Amino acid sequence: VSASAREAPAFAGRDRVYAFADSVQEGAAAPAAAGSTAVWETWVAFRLAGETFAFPVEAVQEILRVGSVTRVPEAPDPVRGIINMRGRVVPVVDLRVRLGLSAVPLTPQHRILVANPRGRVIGLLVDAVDAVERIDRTQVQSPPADVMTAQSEYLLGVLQRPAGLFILLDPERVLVMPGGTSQPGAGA
Amino acid sequence: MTDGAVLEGFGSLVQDFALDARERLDRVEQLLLDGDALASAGRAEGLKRLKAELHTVKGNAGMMGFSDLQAAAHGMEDAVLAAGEGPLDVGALLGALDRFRDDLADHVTRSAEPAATPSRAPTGAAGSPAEGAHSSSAASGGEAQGSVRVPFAVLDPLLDQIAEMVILRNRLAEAIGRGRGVTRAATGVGEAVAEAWIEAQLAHDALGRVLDEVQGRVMRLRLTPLHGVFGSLRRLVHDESVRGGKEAVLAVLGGDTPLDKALLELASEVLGHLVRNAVIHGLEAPEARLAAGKPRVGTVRVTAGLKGDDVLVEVSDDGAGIDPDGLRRAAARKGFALAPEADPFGLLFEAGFSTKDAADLGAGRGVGLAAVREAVRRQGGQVRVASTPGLGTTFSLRLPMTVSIARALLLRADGELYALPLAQVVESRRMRPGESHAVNHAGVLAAAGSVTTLLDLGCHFGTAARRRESGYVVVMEATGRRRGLVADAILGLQEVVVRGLDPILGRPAGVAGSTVLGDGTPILILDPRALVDAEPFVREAA
Repeated sequence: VSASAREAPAFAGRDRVYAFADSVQEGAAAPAAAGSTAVWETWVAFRLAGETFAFPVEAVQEILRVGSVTRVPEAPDPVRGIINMRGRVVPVVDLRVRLGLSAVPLTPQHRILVANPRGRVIGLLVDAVDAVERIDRTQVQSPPADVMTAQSEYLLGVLQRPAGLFILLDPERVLVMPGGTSQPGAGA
Repeated sequence: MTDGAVLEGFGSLVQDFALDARERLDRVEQLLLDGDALASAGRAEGLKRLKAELHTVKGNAGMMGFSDLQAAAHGMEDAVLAAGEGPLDVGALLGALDRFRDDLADHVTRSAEPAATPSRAPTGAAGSPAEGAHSSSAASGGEAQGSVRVPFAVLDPLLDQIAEMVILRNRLAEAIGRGRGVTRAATGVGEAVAEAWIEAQLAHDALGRVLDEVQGRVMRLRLTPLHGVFGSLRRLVHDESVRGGKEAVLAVLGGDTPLDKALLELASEVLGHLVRNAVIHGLEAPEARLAAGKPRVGTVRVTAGLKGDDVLVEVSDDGAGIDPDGLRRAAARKGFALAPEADPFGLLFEAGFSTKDAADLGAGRGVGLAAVREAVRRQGGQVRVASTPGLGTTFSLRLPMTVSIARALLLRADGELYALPLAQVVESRRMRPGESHAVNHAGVLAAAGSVTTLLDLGCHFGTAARRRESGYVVVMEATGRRRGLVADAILGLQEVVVRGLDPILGRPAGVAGSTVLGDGTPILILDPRALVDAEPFVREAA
């Protein structure tokens, strides 16, 4: 195989994470209406089963359209398979299944958020990517205690916004697969 | 297998002539491009060497009956002779060299019909490598120090045959095991027979050790020094600086650094790109350099070396450098994400990030660098850039010295593709009707007096509920046991670059790793040993 063998650009239409994270600078310039203690952060908002979730922008290396996903036998349930990201074989975790929701067939809106937990490269399949949003960290509330379970440590908090509720996720914790045979949630 | 009869044909003579001529032309080119060799002090000596090389090419072309090549070489020789007094028109000579190479290639193509194999190497050849890499440690100057040149066309089949020998060794191990077992069980067999089996076992073990060593050594023969890649860079620097109105010299170091042949082409493309960039975008025009208090002639430095098992090559220029703040501003304009603490130079490798409209930044650097980074990453390498405004820019390329490449059969079962490493494959063929039987819920193949257990790929990996009774069977042998793998189709033999699997994927039984096919499809590499040991039973779906 020649080293220059051309590989089909499976993900030619790669979206870019477009916001800047120089939030300190911009945060200072932002109107102090929300109080002088506002801490601005940039989050990537995406959809899963009609709800809006978000990861911190630093956790997302890039956003890919979904090309061909190759199944991996015996992989844990949330794992959808492997993809080729520029010659690198990257596992894809179906975030729906990971959060205990049922899997759905792929649509053109589906995207893969590429995360780098501890130097690894892992793709997270989401229903759609909404936007990159700046949020005020001080407005984030804890999730109601009675919705929390032992398996939901990946929930960082919720944020009420005019457009609806934001559910903030911890990308590292969401990628810690429950050990052994137990699967997260009671999905499907 | 090639045989001796072909080797002595005319095609082989043409190959020898071409190999020799290309080397001489390469040396002529190096002399022409090496400003020093033709500068006043060494000029007479330089011209003499030029003349000698061209004269030999002319003579050999005449001997081969290639009158056009003979005339072309004669023309170049004349130009060099005429330069004894006046100036030497380097540009015109380089052009003539290129035309000569093209014509030479035509002759080679014509002589190769029907296909003649380039195999017999000229003895005593040395110096800069000709087209096509080779492994040679010969000193320059024409004295071969007990080395011989082996084309990869000869080396690679050798590797295949060694792989075959490893398979045969495994079969031998199994046969010896059976023989010893039978002997132990039998009564009335003399001590001598048992001893003979022990002897066979010992010989087999020794054979195995030698074989492993030979395999390792032949793998190392694929390592090729970077000299050849560096040779073409000199010409590139010359051509690009003439075109861009720059003045530049190339300084190279570490040309003896070895790199796997499979990566040589990539290294050549990438270094070509980076060196061209350095001349076009990195170096300033002579006047600007003088104004900045730098020497008029810019330097592009290419340095190679080993760092652990990696090859590290740096391409640096002493040009204007890149302003990181300018990059940040360009990023802001174009909407590229960049954390305040992030390295802004990484932006240069982003697809679509070009600083073309920012005149102070070296226009157009971003155009091809995204492609460069992709190609390098694909082979498990890295490319980075650092720059100091005013002082210059350094690109560092890091490649693994050897790549883990396996030859594998590409199999398809239920629409899924798999790569099966060839090393454990004994045979592969279409399964004939009636050959496959079910014994205790496991498929078996009864053919030629032996019964082989079958493992249906689809059943094993959960894509099929019933084992298929037609299709293809690939018989593997590992740890002294045989097993037939059943699939829908065998799509061919391919070299695959072996990659791992992230732990998040679990440890699927029978999977050794992953690879990416030429068309970009990611597929799994099978683990023959695990498949031979896997449970063969197919439970009918409830």
